[in-house]
Amino acid sequence: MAEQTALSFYQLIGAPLYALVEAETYAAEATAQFIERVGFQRPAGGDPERPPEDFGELRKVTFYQERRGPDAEPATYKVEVPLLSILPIPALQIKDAELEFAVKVIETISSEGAGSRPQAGGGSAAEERPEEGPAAKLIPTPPRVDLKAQMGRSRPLGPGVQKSQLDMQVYIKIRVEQADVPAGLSRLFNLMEESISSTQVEKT
Amino acid sequence: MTVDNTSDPQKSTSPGFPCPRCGEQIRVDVATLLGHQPIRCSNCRLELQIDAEQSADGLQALRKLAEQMDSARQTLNQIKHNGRV
Repeated sequence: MAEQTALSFYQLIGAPLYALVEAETYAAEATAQFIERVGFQRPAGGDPERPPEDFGELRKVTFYQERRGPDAEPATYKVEVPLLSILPIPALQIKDAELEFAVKVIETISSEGAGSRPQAGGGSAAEERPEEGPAAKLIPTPPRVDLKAQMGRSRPLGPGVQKSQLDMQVYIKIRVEQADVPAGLSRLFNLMEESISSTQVEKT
Repeated sequence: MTVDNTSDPQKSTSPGFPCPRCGEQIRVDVATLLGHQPIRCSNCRLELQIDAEQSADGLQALRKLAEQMDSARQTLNQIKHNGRV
């Protein structure tokens, strides 16, 4: 691993969280692509004036059935169903993620807090700053501490285990699940259900 | 550190469509569609035949999807077999 830069502790913790959010964004984009590519069809040749958010027409599958019509005579009915309604739409989300990493704190930066803190000699910071009011004397606020850290070496594997890990590692365990139906997808399902049609056709 | 994103476990609407006769949800298997076999409602036994000519575009998209899924499954099995997962 290249020489490491010391980062604030929040950056070390935040970076994997940011990656998780980005991963979910990718997953959502994949779902949108699936819906567009499988569920919709654009006219052959394409239309340069068609806006990109216009997916085209719903792609449908047609079935037919024989049953008696209103006149009690056998009739053929055509049932048109959107292809998307008969397929499971992959919409994955991260159910939970477990991140484990070792960090080595290399620097502690302390800045004065706004409140009182007992000081040597019996006085307090609040007493020196009367503009903060009497509450500052009662509620001590510790000074803010920022930790500078870098990835540390992971712990030894345990007693009796000869090989120790020397690489800097982050252990990530992620479980994904089918996401709840988002509002937009729910509307799409409703539209698809409304577009299912059954019409009588002429017998050929 | 554990991040739990679990919310109300409402699942995606199950695939299928309502039976034109009784309204029961008909589940459709991709292999059945691609094999041009009839599908039946599990409740009223209504039989629906696919119209291959009118559904040509949809079936083609479905076939392409099935091929890609097969390919992905094979890759996954290969990775599992090689002990990389």
